[in-house]
Amino acid sequence: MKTRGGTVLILVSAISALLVAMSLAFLTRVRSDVEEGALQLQLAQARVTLVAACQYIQEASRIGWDINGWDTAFPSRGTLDRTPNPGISSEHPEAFGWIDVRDGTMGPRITTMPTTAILTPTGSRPQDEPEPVQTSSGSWRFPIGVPVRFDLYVPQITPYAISQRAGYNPVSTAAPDLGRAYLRFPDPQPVSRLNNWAGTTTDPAAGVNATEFARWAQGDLTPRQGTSGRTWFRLVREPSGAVFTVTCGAGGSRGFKNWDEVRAAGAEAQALFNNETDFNAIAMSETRLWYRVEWSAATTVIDMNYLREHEEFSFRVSTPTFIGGDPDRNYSGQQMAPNMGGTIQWIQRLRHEPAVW
Amino acid sequence: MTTTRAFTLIELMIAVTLGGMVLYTAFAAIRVASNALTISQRMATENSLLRIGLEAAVDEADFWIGSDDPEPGRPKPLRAFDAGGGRPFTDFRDAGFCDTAGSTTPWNNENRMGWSSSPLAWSPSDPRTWCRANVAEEHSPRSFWGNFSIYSNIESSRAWHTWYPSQVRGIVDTMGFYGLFEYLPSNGFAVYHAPRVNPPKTPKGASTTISYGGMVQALTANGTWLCPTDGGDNTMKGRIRNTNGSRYYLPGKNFAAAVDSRRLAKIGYEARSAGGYGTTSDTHQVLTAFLNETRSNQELMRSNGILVSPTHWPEVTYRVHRFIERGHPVTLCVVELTSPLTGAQIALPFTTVGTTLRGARQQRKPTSGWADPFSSEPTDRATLDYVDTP
Repeated sequence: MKTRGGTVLILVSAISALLVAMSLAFLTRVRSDVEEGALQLQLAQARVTLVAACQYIQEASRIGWDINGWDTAFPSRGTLDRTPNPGISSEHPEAFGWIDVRDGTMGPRITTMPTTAILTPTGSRPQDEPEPVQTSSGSWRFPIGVPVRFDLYVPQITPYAISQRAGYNPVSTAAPDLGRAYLRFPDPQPVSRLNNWAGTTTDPAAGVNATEFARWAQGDLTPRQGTSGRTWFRLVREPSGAVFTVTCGAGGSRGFKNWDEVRAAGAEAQALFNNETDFNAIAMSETRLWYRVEWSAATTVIDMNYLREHEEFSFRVSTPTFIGGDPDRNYSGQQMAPNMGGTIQWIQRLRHEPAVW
Repeated sequence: MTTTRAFTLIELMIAVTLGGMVLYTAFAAIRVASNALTISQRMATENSLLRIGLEAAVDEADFWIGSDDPEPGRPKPLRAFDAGGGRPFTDFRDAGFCDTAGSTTPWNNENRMGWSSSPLAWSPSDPRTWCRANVAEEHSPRSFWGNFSIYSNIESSRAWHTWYPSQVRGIVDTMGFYGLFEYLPSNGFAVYHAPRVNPPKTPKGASTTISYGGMVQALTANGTWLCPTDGGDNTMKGRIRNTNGSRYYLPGKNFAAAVDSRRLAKIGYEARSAGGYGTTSDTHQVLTAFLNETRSNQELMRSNGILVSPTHWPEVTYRVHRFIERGHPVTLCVVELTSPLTGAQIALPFTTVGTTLRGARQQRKPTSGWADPFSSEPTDRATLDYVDTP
């Protein structure tokens, strides 16, 4: 019986070992697949971030770039300690493009600013133009030749957030404006969490005071859980004014190029990474892509939906209400509407890491 | 003599049955586990191959090697000429679109006829960039809205403003319409005025007809060289109108050499109204032909057409199609996997934002090789996108 029991034990052990080995192989393979898939995810994230960088360039051409909270000595410090101040009305005055569409000077520039000429081309290539006209960020203009870092995350509530709720009834339901449209709850509405707006015809500002308004304007820039440390981009503006080197990153370095930059950004930045070794490990596991792009002031097409002459004597110039195109035709408003921020003229992926990024 | 009690027949049968069940269960477990492992290995292989295909497609989207391989001796089919005009990777020099004004002429002079890639040269603040064409004029005699050719004309003896017409004609001559609508700002018009003289300065390969108002008819008339047929408007158009029912596309390696690749592809609405490819109006055939002729790719698991991977492995291929649809440049990537065992196919189509045609031209040196935009050596910085000297 003892011999028989030993045989059974050996058989059971062997079969179990076989099953365990196969299970481990299966799990290892799955784990390996997941890790390889994560690289694809980073690649996709970095490419999505290229779109975000282009959109920033487009928007900043008209609203300038954030000045408050930037460390003028270390632009790569980025918005780390940015504290928006809605009380400063000059933070986002209207500007007129990276190359000012009015006079071809360096932008984004508001009317009250003095002009700075873009040095005229000596060749035909943007990068052939003369030395940068300014190299520090201590200016109201975006620096030239200096990397600027943009760490991306999703804030709890963006400044001036608009509610997506579309259920407000704009028609007055009480006298004296009963049945009259658009006299209460004008659209769009601020997000409700920051505002107690309950405007009525008789009291349009009901529920809103200066404190409430300031809270709405400031938003809540606390990162939403799981959205920070995932992606970032950096921009270097070339002397020609409208060409940028874009670095798109997917990973946890927050867009710092190296430990020196982290140290220069101060204790708060260093606390994000613990020490240089940890930072380097994070940086080495990132996906980084380098591009060059050019901004153009052109916003949209001037085409038949703007200037129509289908009948010989009915030529008419379209009005702003017509900007979206015919709703009953296959020109969608999204395609036809001007974006007011310009367009990206071209995109060039760089084969190698540039010296300055 | 001692006797040992043997198993009874019933006991033996039960023991054998139970033993068989245990063995069957054990072997079944092993077989299931083995199958699971095999399937996981196969799926892992498929996933790995799909990832390779995806990375290859994304690389193609960014570096355009399937369309134009910059390495010496590698295929560069899109640097050739069709009907007198260049294809999308043709050198500006080869097309004669060069600046001969000399270094003493100001950079913003109207007579600088060659391509200028500087953003400052295309700033709206520069009056040279203003089109000044007659937006209401048809290709037939409809000049009663004014004779705009006296303000802007490709012939410098006719008008002060000559730069914009020269740019339009030079870009079309060098690259065709796909290039034209990427190089022009998004609000650019594809038209200019030219004198009615022989030979008129119309684009290469186009009709030499000039309207009575002085516009190049090939750039305005429906169903002609540049323009789609639909819409009924025979006026100057921008890129959305011209690509509403049609597409300007980048020719792929299967493009018929005899066809003028600078012209537009007709699919969708155009195929119904104007025949599209050949005489068919069948949407499936039209789309199949479109995808075939715009296919850009390289071999992934083959070498000169011969499969180099194990024959039982799935084969992964990729292709990239580029076209301008309703004014928007589109890069459509497709990664495909075919199982040799089951014949099953997986296709992963996606669009991406990456290097544009002008960006790809800036990646390349004029003759061959990759350019480096930040190099200190002028020869390494030279690209297909600029011309300093003829």
